[in-house]
Amino acid sequence: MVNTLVRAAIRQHKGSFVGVFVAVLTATMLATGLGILIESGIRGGVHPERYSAADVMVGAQQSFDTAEGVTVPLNERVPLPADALAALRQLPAAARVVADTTTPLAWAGSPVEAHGWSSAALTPYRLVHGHAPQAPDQVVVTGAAATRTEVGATITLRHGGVPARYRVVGIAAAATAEQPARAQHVFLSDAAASALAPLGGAPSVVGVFARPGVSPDQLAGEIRTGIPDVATYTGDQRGNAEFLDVGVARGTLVAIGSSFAGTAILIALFVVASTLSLSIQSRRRDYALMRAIGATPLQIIHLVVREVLVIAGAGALIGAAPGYLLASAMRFGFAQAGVIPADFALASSPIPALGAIVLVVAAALLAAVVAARRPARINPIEALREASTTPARLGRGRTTTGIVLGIVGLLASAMPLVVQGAIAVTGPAAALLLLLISAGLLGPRLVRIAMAVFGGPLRRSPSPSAFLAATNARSNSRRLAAAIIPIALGIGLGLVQVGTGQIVATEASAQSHAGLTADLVVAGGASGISGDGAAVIARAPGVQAANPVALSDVTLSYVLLGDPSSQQYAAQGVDPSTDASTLDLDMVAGSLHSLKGIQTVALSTDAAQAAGAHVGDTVHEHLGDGTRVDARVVAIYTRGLGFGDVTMANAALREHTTTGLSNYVLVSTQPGQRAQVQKALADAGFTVTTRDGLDAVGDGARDANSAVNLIALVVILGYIAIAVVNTLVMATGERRREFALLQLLGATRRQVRSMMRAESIMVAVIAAVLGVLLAAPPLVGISLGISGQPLPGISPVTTVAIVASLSVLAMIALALATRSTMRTAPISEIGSRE
Amino acid sequence: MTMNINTSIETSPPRAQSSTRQALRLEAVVKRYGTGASAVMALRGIDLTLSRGSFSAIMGPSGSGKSTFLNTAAGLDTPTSGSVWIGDTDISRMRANRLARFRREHVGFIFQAYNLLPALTIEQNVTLPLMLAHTRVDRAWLDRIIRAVGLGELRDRRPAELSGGQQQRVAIARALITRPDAVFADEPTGALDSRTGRQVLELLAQMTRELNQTVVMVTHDPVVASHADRVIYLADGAFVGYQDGATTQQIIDQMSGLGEW
Repeated sequence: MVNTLVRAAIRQHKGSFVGVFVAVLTATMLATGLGILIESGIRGGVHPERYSAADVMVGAQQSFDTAEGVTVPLNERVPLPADALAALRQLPAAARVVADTTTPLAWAGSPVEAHGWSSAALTPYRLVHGHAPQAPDQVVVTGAAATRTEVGATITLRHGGVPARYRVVGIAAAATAEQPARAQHVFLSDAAASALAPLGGAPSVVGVFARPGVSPDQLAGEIRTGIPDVATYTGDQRGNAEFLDVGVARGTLVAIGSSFAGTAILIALFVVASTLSLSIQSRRRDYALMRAIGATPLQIIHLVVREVLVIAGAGALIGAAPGYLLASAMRFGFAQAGVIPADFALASSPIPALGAIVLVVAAALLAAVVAARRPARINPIEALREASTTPARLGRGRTTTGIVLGIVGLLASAMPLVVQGAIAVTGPAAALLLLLISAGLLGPRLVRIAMAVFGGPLRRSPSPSAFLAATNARSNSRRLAAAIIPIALGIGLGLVQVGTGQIVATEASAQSHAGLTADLVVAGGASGISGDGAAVIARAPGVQAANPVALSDVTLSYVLLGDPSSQQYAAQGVDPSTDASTLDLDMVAGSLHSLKGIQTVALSTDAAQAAGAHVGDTVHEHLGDGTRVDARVVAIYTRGLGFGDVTMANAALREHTTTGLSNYVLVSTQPGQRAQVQKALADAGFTVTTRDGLDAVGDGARDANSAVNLIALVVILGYIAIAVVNTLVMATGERRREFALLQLLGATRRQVRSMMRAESIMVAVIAAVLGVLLAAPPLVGISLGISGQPLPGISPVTTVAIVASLSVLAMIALALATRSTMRTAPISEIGSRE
Repeated sequence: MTMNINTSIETSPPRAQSSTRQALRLEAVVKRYGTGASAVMALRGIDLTLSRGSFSAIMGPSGSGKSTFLNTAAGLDTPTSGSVWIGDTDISRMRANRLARFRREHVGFIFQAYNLLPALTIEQNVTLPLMLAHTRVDRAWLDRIIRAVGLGELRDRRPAELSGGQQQRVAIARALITRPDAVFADEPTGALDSRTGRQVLELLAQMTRELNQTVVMVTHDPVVASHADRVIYLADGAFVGYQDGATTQQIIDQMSGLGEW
């Protein structure tokens, strides 16, 4: 019985159901795409190139768990536990254990990785010419590099800026069809490689070959039970041991996917819910009729739920497939932005699709029950009578919730007035979400207020189109809100997402410019600069001071408002004897001269405030490679955004990085000597730029980050665009009779179109104003927190682009919808039939 | 008493002299849908002249061409051949936009239901055609019409607050506000109970007399048709007869002769 009704209703109200179908389909597509990103962050990766011969690769855990239970991925290679190698050799299942070290070198300006020859056993490389390296000055070259030289030639390889001459004794090539392409490799003798390698040559990754009859997975299992604190990799997973950036990329994908999923799914659900209520509202007359002829409220809800189950189920099933395309498109975008390696493969299991389908259909059903309550409860006679007008009142619960969330959002935006620094920015960032939900709940009311403000002059307009549009809008604020709110949400979201990045970047670059006092910035060419390299630079004639700077990150753990909390900060290692001639961090307290060894640290005011630390206090750190340190705060400075929030002694920090090298050396020269020094250092093989060439710390990360935000934004705005067009087409389709009547009363088609154009301008303007109003409190809050300026420094071009693109889209959608709605002859629409 | 209407109705001589007297004239109007073998002749040569101040009902069984007649005579659709004159303008060759502008000044419409825009007040609904035509509202005429249809106190209400009969009175006032050459009513009482329907029809008749307006009403209901001064019968796309001042029973008898209805 119910099924018959459902089928009949779907046939009868095709237009309105198509809207719901499209909304559900696109929401599922979005949710599936994000789900795939998250799953890929957990299981995706890159095929191993070099570590393809070993059965099991063993490394240290590349993450740690904080007190509050968050897993923080580590960006520096974590050294293997000291006894791990010996323990591996003891394992009965292990036939052979081969350790590997990787040292970054520069060969004629391009980076190569150096390894000990014994590690070639882990790889597909086999000698094709010559012999293995035996003496410390012998080298075997591989792959593309092999074409640049020949056996017997002498080449110069630089480590940390210090050149050394090697004789090519052999050429190796991969025995497999595919040559490793992600990096170029050379092999030195084991002793030479170990002498150059970071961490004093301790192996960071070990390959294990299984005894005959033992499968790689069995071996991996034995290793994990036998040796604590190591991670094992088999099969394609071995790529994760080989490429540190893949692990970072996976962490990034999970972070992007989940942070972006929250907002996106919220918006998707809002769109599905509002589409549904639009659809149900358009059929109130049917429900009233059913109530009149004896249907119980429960039967009405039942009917609505069944309809939605059919429509949403179909939409969700079909929408899951293009979700995989969306994920590939985002993967491509992230790879272009340099956030993930170009060859990073997505995991593609059905789990994200299933999750998305369940989530979206469940949300649609919930929305259906909520939306059906009104027609189900209504007095049928009353409903039939007032069926041609729309109800304007919002439920009290909805209004109260909306107002409370709005107030909380505003308060959260004001957090930087009370607390200072980056930590305070979390308030405004969260405020946006609260304000978006609040605007969604209060939508029709806000639109009515806006109409009271903007509609007055329009209603007095001599143009019938403007008058009609304004009057319609006032009495149909709910229908108008269904179009306005998603656009306003999109504008608000876009402005805050892009604006936050710009505010941070602007401030960071301002700090960096103000604080960098050195005359020259010297980098090591294709790799970093070692302690020896820095010494070479410092000894160069005309150099007054040379300050090597290593970059990494440090996680501070502290108690915030009674809860354990952790935050990862950019960190720099500088020469403690440095003075203001190379670097001016704008000290507030203490001095960098007090930095000595690993157990002292200087913090930015932001980080110090977050950790509640003053000079002399102790803070709990996890260094980039996961090493736990309790360090005494010896200085506090303001320019954290430009240079990193944590500053340590250069040598101490370098020991806990993957390469053990500094990133660059800041050089101040004796008066008038700059040009000579620049030339001398360049001749010595260093890359020398003036200080304008140095980006603020984390500029690269911020660029990547803003690219990610941009991609996320494009996806969300694209989704909103589809939703807006969908809603507008639905809402306009309901007005067929109105347009027909107007035409019969003498309105030309042009007048109807011009009325709808006036309405679309109102939609666009109100949405733009509302969107900007939504974005303003969080942006002002973020700006106050980051730069202390109440006026956020956002480029007007960006603002206009975001606001205009969505507004124009709404106008085009409405114009197209109006045209298609007027396609039928007016008289056949009105006729004598109801 | 079927007779050849074509000659009998055409009481006034063609064109020129009649410009003030005739409200509507159809000359040899043919409307054909489709082409070739599948073509359907909806109107097969209609000739009709209605003088100003007349209240006519067009009756006929379903499929007789009532709707096509209404659409064609009111300028909502163009005839395949023949011409349609409203007042002293030939509208049968006008293009859509000009026709729309002509209609709003010279033709009024009353429909069965969904006549009013819910967002507008009663007075705004009534003056809407003037506004669309960018014409100033003649307050005296507006007051007179609103009083005549008995809606004086309800001007600022919205349609949802009115009964069905009251809404239809608003529609009548709106149809008359432009002093049109002809008002076309399509089953104007179809959605009303018989008592309210009778009141609305009496109002229509009174309007035609007092304000010298011309009303053409299409209906299938003999009771409704009996309120008109003249009932014109349509069958199979052609006029087949007429009666002046017919009673309900006379109309029923006449219709029975025309077949299923």
